[in-house]
Amino acid sequence: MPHGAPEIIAYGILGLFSLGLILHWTRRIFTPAFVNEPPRAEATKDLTVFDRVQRLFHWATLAVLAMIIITGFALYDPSTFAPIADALGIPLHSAFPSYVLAHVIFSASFAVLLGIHVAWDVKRLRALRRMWPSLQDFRDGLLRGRNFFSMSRNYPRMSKYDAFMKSFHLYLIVSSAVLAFTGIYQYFYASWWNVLWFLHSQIEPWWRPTVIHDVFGFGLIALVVGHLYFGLLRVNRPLLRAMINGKISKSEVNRRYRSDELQGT
Amino acid sequence: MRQVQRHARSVGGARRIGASLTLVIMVLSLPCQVFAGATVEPHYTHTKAHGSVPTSIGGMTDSYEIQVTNGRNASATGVIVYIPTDFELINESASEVGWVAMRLPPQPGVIGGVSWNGREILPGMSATFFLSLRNPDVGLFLAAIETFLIVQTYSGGALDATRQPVEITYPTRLLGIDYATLAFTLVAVVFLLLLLDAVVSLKGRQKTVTSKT
Repeated sequence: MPHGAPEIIAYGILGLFSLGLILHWTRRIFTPAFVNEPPRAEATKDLTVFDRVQRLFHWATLAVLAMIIITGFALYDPSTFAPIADALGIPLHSAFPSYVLAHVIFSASFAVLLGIHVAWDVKRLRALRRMWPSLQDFRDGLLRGRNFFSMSRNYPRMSKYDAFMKSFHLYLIVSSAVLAFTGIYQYFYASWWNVLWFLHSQIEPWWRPTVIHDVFGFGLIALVVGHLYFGLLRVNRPLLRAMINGKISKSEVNRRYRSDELQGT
Repeated sequence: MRQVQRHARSVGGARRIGASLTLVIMVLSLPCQVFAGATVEPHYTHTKAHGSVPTSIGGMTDSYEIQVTNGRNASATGVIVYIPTDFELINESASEVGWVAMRLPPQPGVIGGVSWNGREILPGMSATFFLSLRNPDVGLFLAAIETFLIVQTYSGGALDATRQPVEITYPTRLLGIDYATLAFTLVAVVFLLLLLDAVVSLKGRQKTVTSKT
């Protein structure tokens, strides 16, 4: 029995999620959604949606998460990573402890960024309410689902963060906690990369932190792919541009956003 | 007897081969890693880091790394790796130059293998050899445990032998494609669709600009 998560589960999570995204794209390319909810208030000027600290946090987090995923993936499935390592001319099989160290350093950097994020958004901007799923999100999500399955022609205006974005954020919190706990446990008490292969199963505790770490890790990879997909989708480009320059134009706000939900960072 | 003599000629001594074959029988009846003077690691295991027994995939050609450690006070003068009959030998090599490999084809009653001579493994030192083997085919949920026998020969006819099991499992594939390739292909399709979306949107914008001008 493998000491890590079985490939069918790990890659299954990623594959099924990607399949869902492909279905979404196919559906939306043929029947795009048109917002028909009347505006509650007209925007008279471009709105600042993300301040400089938020934008810096977002892009720094993306870079750090990418490195965590790359180093973590190399440790989970080196044979698939081997061609990339060969192409880059970096060692792989002889450098497992270095990959673990890099993984730990980037994870610690992620923890620092999270600290800054919590301090800035929760304490200074008091934006916790914005990220907490509300009844409105549930109603919007339901309507969007009905629209997706052709059960309704209505489509709601978008808030700054929709139900999916808030779910992604919640998953990030939960998975970060689980991944940190299982990762720290492995590092100190079940460091399989320091022992011969036939001892891996012997140092793995009964509650299988490596399996949990792998499953949550692949869940995170799948959701990051989903986040990139929705972030790059044409309909969400105004938010993507706002993540670069901070603002959404008033015409875009009036076309498909709830201006009162976008006010303030 | 003639077959054994033929092996003896290629490996270097009838007495040595006779003793070796006796040892084969003895060692095969002992628990594995009794001597632990050699390890067999398929590349698949090395990279996947799974399982309590080295593992490889049925039907695939894999590179097997054989590390032989001399635990005696005398230099080892040769190494023989006996390969289970279900495997097909593709290629053999050694990590150091000077080792001369010789294939020992399987014959009725004698399993085949590869012998390496021409250099010495000094006391306490190791040597690494590689075999490229096509694994036997196995059925779903019918993994096979195959046993390799590694014999170290010493001048004077002394021998050390190690028995090393390797588990051959059913390929973890769907529609003939391994899971990693399948998952990453789907991820790539997602991004290709986004690229397509961007190209279509760009062309639409160009058309709008052209019609306005």
